[in-house]
Amino acid sequence: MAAANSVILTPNTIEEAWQMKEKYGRDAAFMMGGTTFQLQREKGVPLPPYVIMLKALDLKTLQRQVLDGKDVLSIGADVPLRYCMNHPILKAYAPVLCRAAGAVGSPAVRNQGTIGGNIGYRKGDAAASLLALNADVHFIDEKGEQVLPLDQYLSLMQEKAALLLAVKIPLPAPALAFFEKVGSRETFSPSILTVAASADWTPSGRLKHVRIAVGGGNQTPQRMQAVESCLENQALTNAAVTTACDTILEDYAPESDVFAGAEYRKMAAGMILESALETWKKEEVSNAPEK
Amino acid sequence: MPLKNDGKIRPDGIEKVTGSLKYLTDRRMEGMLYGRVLRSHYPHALIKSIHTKDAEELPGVKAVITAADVPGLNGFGIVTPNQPVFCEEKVRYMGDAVAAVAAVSKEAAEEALDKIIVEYEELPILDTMEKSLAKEAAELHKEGNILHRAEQKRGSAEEAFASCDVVVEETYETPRQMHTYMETEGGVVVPEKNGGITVYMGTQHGLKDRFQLSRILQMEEENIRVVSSPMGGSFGGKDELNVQPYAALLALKTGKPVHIHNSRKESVRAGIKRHAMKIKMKTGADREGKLLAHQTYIEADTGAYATLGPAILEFAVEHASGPYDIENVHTKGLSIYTNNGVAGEFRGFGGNQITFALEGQISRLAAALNMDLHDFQAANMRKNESPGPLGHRIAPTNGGLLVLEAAERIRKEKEAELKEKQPPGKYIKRGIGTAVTMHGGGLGYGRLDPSGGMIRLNREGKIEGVFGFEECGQGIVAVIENTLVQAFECRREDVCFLIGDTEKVPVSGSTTASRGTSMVHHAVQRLKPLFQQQLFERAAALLDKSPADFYTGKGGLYKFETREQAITYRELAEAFPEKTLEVQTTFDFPVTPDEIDSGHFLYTFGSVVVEIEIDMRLGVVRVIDLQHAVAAGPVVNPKGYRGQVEGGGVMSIGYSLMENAAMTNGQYDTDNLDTYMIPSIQDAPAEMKVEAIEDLYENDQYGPRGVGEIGTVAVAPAIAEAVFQAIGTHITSIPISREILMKLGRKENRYEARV
Amino acid sequence: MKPGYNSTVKKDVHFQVNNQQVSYSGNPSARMADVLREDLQQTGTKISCGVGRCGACSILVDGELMNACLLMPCQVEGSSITTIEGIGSKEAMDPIQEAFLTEGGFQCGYCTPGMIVAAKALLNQNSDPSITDIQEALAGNLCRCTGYASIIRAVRKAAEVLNVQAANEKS
Ligand SMILES: Cc1cc2nc3c(=O)[nH]c(=O)nc-3n(C[C@H](O)[C@H](O)[C@H](O)COP(=O)(O)OP(=O)(O)OC[C@H]3O[C@@H](n4cnc5c(N)ncnc54)[C@H](O)[C@@H]3O)c2cc1C
Ligand code: FES
Ligand code: FES
Repeated sequence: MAAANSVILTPNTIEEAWQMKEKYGRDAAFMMGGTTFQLQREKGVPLPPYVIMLKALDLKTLQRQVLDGKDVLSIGADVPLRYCMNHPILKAYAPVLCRAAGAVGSPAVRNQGTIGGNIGYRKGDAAASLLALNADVHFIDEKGEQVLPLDQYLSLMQEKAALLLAVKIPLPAPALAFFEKVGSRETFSPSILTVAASADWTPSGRLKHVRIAVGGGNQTPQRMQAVESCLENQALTNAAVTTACDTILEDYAPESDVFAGAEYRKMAAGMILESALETWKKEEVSNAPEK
Repeated sequence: MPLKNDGKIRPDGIEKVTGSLKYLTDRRMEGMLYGRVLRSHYPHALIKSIHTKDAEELPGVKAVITAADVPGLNGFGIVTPNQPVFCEEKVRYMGDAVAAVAAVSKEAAEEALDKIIVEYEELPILDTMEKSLAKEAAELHKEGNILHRAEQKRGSAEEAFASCDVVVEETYETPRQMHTYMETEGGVVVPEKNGGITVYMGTQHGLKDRFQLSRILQMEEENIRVVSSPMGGSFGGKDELNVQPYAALLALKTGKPVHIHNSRKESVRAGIKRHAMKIKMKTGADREGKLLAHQTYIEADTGAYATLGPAILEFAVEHASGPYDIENVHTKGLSIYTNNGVAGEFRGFGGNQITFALEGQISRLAAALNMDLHDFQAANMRKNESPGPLGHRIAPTNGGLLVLEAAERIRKEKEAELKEKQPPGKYIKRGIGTAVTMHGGGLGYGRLDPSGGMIRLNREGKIEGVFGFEECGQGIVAVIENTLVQAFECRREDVCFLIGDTEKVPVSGSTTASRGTSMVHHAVQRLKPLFQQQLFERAAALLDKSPADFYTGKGGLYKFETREQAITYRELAEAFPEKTLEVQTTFDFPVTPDEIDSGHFLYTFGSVVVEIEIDMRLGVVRVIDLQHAVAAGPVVNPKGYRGQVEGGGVMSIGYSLMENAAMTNGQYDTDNLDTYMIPSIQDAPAEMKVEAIEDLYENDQYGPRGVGEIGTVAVAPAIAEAVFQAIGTHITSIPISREILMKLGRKENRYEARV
Repeated sequence: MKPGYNSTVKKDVHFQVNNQQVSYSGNPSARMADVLREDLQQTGTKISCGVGRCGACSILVDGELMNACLLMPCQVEGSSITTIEGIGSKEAMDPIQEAFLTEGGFQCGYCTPGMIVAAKALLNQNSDPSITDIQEALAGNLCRCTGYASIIRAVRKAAEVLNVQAANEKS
């Protein structure tokens, strides 16, 4: 198991980084903050022979920009989670992401860990909130530079290598948003269940653009499309809430692990969704939209 | 009154807060090698062969050792040494050692481990007590699969149940808890010129380690020096030997210092844990609320080897009826070998498990009788002169009633506070719970329990307290300092301490069983007049006075006549450079005069009040407040006292809500702190109160008692009670299942949400 | 510059530890915790879990709290590291260290260097932290001995002392 020392590669440009990956294939891994590398190592998985350190690529920009005529928040892959947690632009436009970033690990992990790494990690809490925010990702793969919705990117990543450059959150951000993480203790815990959701109101007080993402355990966060569509264009009546919660119980297929059983996760997802929808209902009452 | 800061600073404090304290695992020596231990690949298997040649030939590898390299007894265990240093024929758990290596670097040592080839033949795994007890089960040891049986009987519980108006019966389960000291096991062993060794590794009883090592190494005890303090936590977990034998054998074989420091993973795999227990209780009372009969059956999963399994079982058996006067008690227990991780000593020593069950019974009975819990507890609480839980004589005490009353007062205050608080959110339920306990100190009747200590005037003219106790973090050093300062009415600068080095300290017994503080007090009380007499005689000779003219005070001796300083301690020391002034004492921990196995004599009492909130959506319990009342005699070191109780309390929040070193097929489900969760700063109440009840019962001569354990014992049942108060359901196992709570909540909330 | 990957010249990593320049020539993928403890003999930084789950190895990297067990030397090229040894010494303790002493914010002391480093990171940014702020800032530092209440008292105390000091300096 004790592997020979890895070679640390330090590309200076994105192209170089990608060439390195193409050259070494599975023998090379991209490293952003690197928080997950030591975790793997301590579990007995040696470092890959080549570690491509992306620090020099300057993917640290966080800004609002207009891209192809679309207003987006662009977050460079190398932006540490702590900035995502506290950045004024994000606080104003994507508070759910701030909350999600703040739910990752500890202050030290958030100082070192990045948003790009959180997506690369595949089970990230921040990634769940980005799904709910309808984010796109900007990356390079064998086909060159591309932009794809995050959920597509996550499934693509399962088969192919890609170099993530930035996350793009479309603006305006949804009027309604929700994030909750259940861990095995109050903080500093792996996620048992992470639920992120967002939606807008129609003028008539119905939900539209509903997005619900669920992650936790060893699973990559995923959208609950059946639940989304059963809430789409619905007013938040008790019946609608019930149907949505029942649907998530059917739609969501979690796994059991040492932290929680699948059954628990399912029920918890239902309960969290219920309380999320209730919060939204309350918001509706307090700042009633024009009908 | 809640404990307050006394403004005093622990003698080891500055080094600790500046990071300059060298823990034993921090030691590095010239030419030092790194040791690693190869542990078993299977929870239960026969060893067919071990090939070490490839490993030996690796560059940088200096030694590879196996059972064949153990010169003496190939076994350890504080009482019964049945845990092999190295397994030869059979492995019985994943932590069993098969071989060890020493190499010039950690990497080389690690690589060498991979190169040792062990052929096994797997055997069926006995991973539950049930499987071990089955008729067809393989025998894990020659005595079978039962390490120990314990039974205590008073009156006839079986008959008394007939006359009970209410009887409750329940089975409780408690988890295998990990000590999770932040410093994992390790240190350095250095071979000495005389053929002996010095062992720099933490333990709670250096002299016992020395004894065990001498047996393994076949080396005179005099040639083994054990330096065993300070430690980054122990909580009972480092009392038994861990990696000392390997480093010692490797050091002797290579002639070089050998450093071993377990990684957390290795620590989890090999280290002892708290016994998981299954406890069945049947308890009956009459209509008026008098407890009449109490029957208990305990099964403790002791894992693969003995260590202190028998004593822990006996402690649990003794405390089965706790602080209550019950005439008819029948308790039986089994400590059962399995292929699971070895269970052994852990703060609370079986008391935590049994108290969870007992207080659960008390709560259920009170509910069944429709009585207030406190009234029910009070009605059955032991009286000042009541016999101990085994019907034996104990030091009379009113501690039980005092802590109970304190808890009731605190509970009422909290209840009033809660009424003032904002009502909780829709999914949140609140509850306040209380529990009480009684906890024996010392090892108990029938166990050698010697203690002692030494006081000397050292060369620098300091009054030095010398003890065989160990500093695991609990603050024994502050206790020694404070006790000396109090005894001689001197300044802090006038005293110092020496502990944790078998070459220099007398027999004090183990630093366990809440005995440290108490034994320091006893030793100093005995030594004080002897020491003073010698000081006075010296001064008298020097100053041409009578010994009776002096008393000890700040910086030196004073004259009664003038109240002026006659001579400083330093001058006294310097006047006789050759003749150190030294007095020593040995004595036994006080025991009951009645011949009753394991019966204790000195008890402490504790009560706990917790406030919790349950998020019924998720079944998540949060402890909002945790308060303790403790009756353990005078407080010697307020910060230490409070710290022990607060820290113990939070450790037990973990025990109640999240900690379980669960095993599947003989393997730990959790192998590091990313999966084994202990409370974080947000799981603990930000402020806690600890009320110390210092008054001892009239004529009690036994002084302060230790508080190292009491803060851990009654937290789980108090939380369980708070859950009952919040939602009307009694839970039966810890850590409390969120799933169960959530299902209860789900029913309610679904209903509410839909109407 | 041409891609350096087919000609990886092994070069030393340079960084500062407690204001001392370090030139490290060992394995660039070692654990910083080991580099500090073994190569540089700064054993105030502890190691307990090795996976970022306890905070015993907390250090400041360019002023930011990080876990030395999660970092490799190659990641700290050009950085300035502060360990507990750089926060204060026996002779000149930081007010945070003094507050841990007087409030009894430690027992075995093994988590203490990490706790103090984390508290330092907090107080550098927030001179008057609430209890919640403290609970957030120290969330990644586990302590098995104290139950945390005394640690919270210590950080509160340190903040008070620092604020008084700051006020005195102004006037
Ligand atoms: C103690 C601890 C606690 C943690 N707690 C949480 C938690 O609560 N929630 C959570 O979500 N995560 C948690 N993590 C996981 C992880 O730290 C975070 O997800 C973090 O955001 C990862 O960021 P990083 O920059 O460190 O990623 P890295 O470790 O550098 O990389 C993570 C993965 O992404 C790949 N990768 C990195 N950059 C790129 C890129 N540009 N393109 C393509 N692939 C890339 C890497 O190859 C690797 O597989 C925790 C980790 C630790 C050690
Ligand atoms: S040792 Fe680094 S966080 Fe635990
Ligand atoms: S003081 Fe021992 S772990 Fe914190």
